[in-house]
Amino acid sequence: MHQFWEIISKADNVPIVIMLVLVCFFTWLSFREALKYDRARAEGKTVKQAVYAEEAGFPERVAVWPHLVRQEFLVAIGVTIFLMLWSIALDAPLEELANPNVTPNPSKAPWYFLGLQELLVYFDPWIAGVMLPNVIVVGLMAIPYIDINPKGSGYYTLRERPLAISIFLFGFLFLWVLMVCIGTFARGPGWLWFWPWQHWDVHRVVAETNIDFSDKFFGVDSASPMGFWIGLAAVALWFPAVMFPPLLLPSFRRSEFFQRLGIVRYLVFASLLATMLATPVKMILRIFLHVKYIWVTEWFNV
Amino acid sequence: MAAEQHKEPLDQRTYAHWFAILGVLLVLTSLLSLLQEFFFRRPYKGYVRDFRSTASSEIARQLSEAKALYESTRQSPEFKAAEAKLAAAKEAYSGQAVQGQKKAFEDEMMRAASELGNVRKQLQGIRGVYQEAVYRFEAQHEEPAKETVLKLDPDVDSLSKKMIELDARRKEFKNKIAELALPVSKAQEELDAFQSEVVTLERRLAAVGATDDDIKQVFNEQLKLVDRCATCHAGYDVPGLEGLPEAKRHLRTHPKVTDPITGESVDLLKVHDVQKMGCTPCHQGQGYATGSPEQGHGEVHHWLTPLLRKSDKVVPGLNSAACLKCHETASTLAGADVMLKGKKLVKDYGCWGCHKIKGIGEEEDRLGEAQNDLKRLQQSFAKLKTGYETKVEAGKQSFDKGPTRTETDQFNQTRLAVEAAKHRVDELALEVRRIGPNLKAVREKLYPGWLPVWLEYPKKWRPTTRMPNFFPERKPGFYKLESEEDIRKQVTEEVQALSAFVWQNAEGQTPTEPEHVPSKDEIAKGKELFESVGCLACHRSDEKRPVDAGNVYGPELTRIGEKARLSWLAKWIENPKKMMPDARMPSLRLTPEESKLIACYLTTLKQNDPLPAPAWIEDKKLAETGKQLVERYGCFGCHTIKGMEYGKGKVGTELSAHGSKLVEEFDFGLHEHKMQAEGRFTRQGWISQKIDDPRTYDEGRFRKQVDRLKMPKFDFDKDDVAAITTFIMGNTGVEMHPAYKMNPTDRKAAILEGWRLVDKFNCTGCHRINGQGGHVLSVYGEKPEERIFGPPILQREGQKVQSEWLIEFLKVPYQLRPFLKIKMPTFDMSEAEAISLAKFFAALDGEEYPFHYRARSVLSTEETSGAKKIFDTLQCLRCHQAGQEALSPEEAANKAPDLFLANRRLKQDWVIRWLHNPDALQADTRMPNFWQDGKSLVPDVAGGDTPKQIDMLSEFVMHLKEYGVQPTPPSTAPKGGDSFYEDDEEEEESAPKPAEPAKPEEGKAPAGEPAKPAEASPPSAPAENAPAGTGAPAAAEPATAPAAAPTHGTPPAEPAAHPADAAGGQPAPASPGAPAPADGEHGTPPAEPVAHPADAPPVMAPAGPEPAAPSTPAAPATTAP
Repeated sequence: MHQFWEIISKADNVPIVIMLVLVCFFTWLSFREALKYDRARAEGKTVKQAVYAEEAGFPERVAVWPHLVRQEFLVAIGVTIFLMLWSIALDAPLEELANPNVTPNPSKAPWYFLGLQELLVYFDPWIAGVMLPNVIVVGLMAIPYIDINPKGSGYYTLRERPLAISIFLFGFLFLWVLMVCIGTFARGPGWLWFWPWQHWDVHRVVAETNIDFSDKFFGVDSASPMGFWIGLAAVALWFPAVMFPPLLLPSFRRSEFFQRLGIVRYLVFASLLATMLATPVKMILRIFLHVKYIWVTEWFNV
Repeated sequence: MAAEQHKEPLDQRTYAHWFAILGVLLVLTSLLSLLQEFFFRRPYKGYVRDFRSTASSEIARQLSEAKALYESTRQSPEFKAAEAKLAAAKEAYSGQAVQGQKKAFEDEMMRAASELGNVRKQLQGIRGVYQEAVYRFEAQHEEPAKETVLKLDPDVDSLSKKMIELDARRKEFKNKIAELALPVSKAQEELDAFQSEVVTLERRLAAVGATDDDIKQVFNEQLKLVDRCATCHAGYDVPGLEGLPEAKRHLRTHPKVTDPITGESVDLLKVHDVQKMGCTPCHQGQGYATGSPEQGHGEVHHWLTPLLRKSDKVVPGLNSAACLKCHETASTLAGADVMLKGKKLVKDYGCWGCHKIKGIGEEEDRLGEAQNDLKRLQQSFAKLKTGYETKVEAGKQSFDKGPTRTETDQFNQTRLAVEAAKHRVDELALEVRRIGPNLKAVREKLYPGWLPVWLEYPKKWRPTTRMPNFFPERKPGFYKLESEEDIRKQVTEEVQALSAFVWQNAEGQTPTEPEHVPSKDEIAKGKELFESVGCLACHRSDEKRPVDAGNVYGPELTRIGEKARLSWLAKWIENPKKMMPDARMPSLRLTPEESKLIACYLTTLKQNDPLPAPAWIEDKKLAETGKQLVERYGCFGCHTIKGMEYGKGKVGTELSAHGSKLVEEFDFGLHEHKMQAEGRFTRQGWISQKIDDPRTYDEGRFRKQVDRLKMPKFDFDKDDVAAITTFIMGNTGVEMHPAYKMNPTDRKAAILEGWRLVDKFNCTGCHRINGQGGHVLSVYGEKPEERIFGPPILQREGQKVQSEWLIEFLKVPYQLRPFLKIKMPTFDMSEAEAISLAKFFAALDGEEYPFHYRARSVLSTEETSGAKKIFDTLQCLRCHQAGQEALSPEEAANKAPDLFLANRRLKQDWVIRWLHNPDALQADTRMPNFWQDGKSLVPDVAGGDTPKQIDMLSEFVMHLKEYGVQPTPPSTAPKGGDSFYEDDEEEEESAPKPAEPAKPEEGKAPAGEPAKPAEASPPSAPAENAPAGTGAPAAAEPATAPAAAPTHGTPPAEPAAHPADAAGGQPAPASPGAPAPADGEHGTPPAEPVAHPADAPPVMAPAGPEPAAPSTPAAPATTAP
């Protein structure tokens, strides 16, 4: 437990702990509101009624100034107090003169990049460091254009936006927050897996032999031309495998959702979704089946 | 907020209470941060405040004591006298006379000053015009300007001169006025001196009270340091705070250290200016941190150079480690004892055989480089030679085809370069000494049964050995999966393999003939020789003799009979260097017979008989394994082994930068947690554990034999471990800025190098040099008359001997003092080493090196006869050898050094001082003081003027041959039947002194001198003038060959001269005759003094020179060791 205490009390990691708490809190809060709304709606209330449930007689809108602003102001004061106390209590870790011959072990990125650093375990740096972040950003930018569901604007709901919410929560909580937490708490010297209570032994030795996809399943050397084609096939076939099945179902093609979405938006959406799902799939392959790279090329590996 | 039931709609709620609470909280938080800023986060302010109050109270206490003392002094007569003096001076000053003078002077001064003012005004007026005119004339060539210049020039000149004069006059009178007041100010000063202490303390108190809170910083760009230590350690430079209590020890004055040689107290801060160097070069730590003591001392995680604490728990005395990086060549240094002890241990125990360490054991590297150079030069010369010779041949046919001058020059230069390189290699080879014996001769030397016993645990067989233990005890399971039986088996195998390899790899043949069995007589003689000729200075043969710094130089010989063969020992003792060029043992120039005798004696030193040869010793396979083991353990680092002499490198890690190696880079093995818990997870913790038990870090690990740690265990005690750790910690590998390094001046460098060589050759085993060493003298005894028979004490040797002679002597020693049995060994040192030693002695005494020029004043005829008269009257040649004539042992016992050596050996200035007062220069000498109380014994020469006489005599003695004194030819055989009793005072009384029959008399008498033995009386008058009983002066009954004489009959040279006996009666100062203990002689291990019954002991005790009463007819007497 000593090690656990050391990790969470490290000045760098305190914000992560706070973040965890806050993430849990806000997730719970939003779920509570969403369920309340959904229950109200199930009882037959209108949207407006469901949102402003107990506030009969309350105005629908109030002026930003002063009502919102003063609430914000109070919170700002509170945050200021919190920050001042925090900075008095925990000094910024200004350490001694850096020794260029000594690299800290483990060498961890700032918390907002820990998720990506964790992904480096599973992916080639080009993919984990360039491709995926770009896809994430592009995907986030694309959301307004592919999200055609007008509901849920200004209030919490689950039933009215199941797809959006589940995709988002998966991407945010699982693929982002969880990665950050793993990077903070469960990665020790050598970026080896340490349970939070395990002592960080710099001398620990773990045997990890990972084999490329083509080598493992087909016995073909991944650097050879044959291996190249196998890898290419695997990657190329993944996307249609995820994107096309719904299209093959007539019921889906006829659904209102698809009609409104349109094929273009659908393809964009589906390709993004396929990319997102590829991540945990590769992670599982790596962790449990010790697969190193699916596709090995001269320029990048997947 | 939305979920709760609010009583009011959003736009009707009041948040006033929130504002109130949060506002108050905000103000409080702000106040808190201010408090943090000004009070809590500046701990150093607290320290400074503490300092002010603590130091003030301490100084105030001292002040009150000083005041009380002052008050009491005010009553003392001295004070009153000073007061009276002041009053008198004041009165005199205020008197008419002085005041009148003062007034007069003042008037003069004023007059001069006002005149000066006038002159200056005038000059100012003219000068501008003049200079303008000059400009116009020079630059613009205006004619009218020329006239102006010529007109004004003289005026300007004279005015300037006048100004200068007037100013000088003014100053003169001003000084005169000040002089008038001088007595008063002087008297005032004297009076003030009484309360200087009080004043100082008052000032100090004020200064301390005024210390401000700010950070005090030393910034040095060259050293890249920013040291703020003085902020909290505010009392470091305030004198008088040494006595602060333990809780306030950080405020104490910086302690002083003691100089190890002179015993003086040294203030390190005076030598190392803190304002330039700060604190961290010596103490390490994080100089610029002020946040907390831990931070400031660098005892935080990431600071690589934490404080070197003297009171370090693991390594006490660690603070001296930092001295090394500037004082690289020091052998003694005030305050650095621990570090230097470590350095000496590292040198003595041969750590450098396996580990490369800067500055230690580099002779081999230099030799290697020189050999490479030689090879390179030889190759290029060979190429050059063939080409050149061809050309020379061609040149014989036709001149044009011959070599050019450039080619000839190049050829010659290269040839000379090769010669020089060869010479350098030879010289450097002389300097190499390995710490362990050469293993090439083991077949001839050892009884093979000894090898495995030794190799298993050397210290068990010989407790004082330097060889470490390669097979330290391991508990079963030390290496996982190893049982006790496994351990046993492994050790035995390795020991046998190593023994077999060493045995089989040696050169030479095992002797087949049985060893000579020594007779009792041989043993006795050998023992006597061993104990008298100088072996004891380096070796111990008797367990009861205590270990001292000298006698651990050579191996302990208490059990040598079990180990080495007699035949080999005899050869070895005769000339060690011939058999092993890199041996540390010098040659004592013994004859083969003497060597054999000593060897006979040595073979009796044993506890058991030598073990028989083990059956497996010639097993080839074992030897093969042994060879691999030797490669693994690196035996060639300390021993010369056939086939592994050069180029093998060092098997251990280089230690030149261990002091700055990162803690994480040390392999703590499985002890990491344990040592972290114990606070030993530091550099010094790792190193000290390693030195204490090197293979600890293997404990609990699963390792194959080849991967295991191989450093052997030295069995150091705690203090030694701390010392060595400190030294290694000092090797940071960081080059100090050259401006701050101790760059010894020539003189100091010569002294440092000299001490290094003294250490190397164990000079201090025999000689006491400037008060240090002389360990073997304890064997002879403590009294001067005993010590005189030991190795001479070297006090002021630089003043005494000529450097050129000393260099020659060190390279090829010979006997100087006939009465000494102990011999100066031939060390076979290189020329450079001999020169360094000569420089060393010269530097110790501040003498010029190498030449000491002294103008010679040749004696006139008159002076010559006067000097001769003194020379004869004092009978110098009665005691001093004259030429290198051979002496019988009895004669030798009382002979002083050859006077004809003085010309080359001694410095005349020293001779003069010596003649004035020998005792002052050499405490144990038997040379009498002929000019007591400045009175001469020969009053009619030079009017009895002592300095003049001594001058003349010294000139005479330094150039004896020129003045007609001839040395005795060396062919004079010693006469038997001589015996010399020291008779000193008893001379006048009819000492039945052994006379020498007339013949021997002229043999050793001052040859060619109308020796005046008859004049012996004058010299014998003063008590001290007891010349060693050299040929009884004529005063002694010449022909009364006393009983003793005849016994000397036959064997002339046998009896080891009994210097002891003879010396017995020769105490330098007063008590002549008394000392010679009738027992043994003077502390030398009393060998059976076979006092011959027939000896008529001389009046006083002095065991008369037992002229040999050999117990066996032909065998030499066995007296006086």
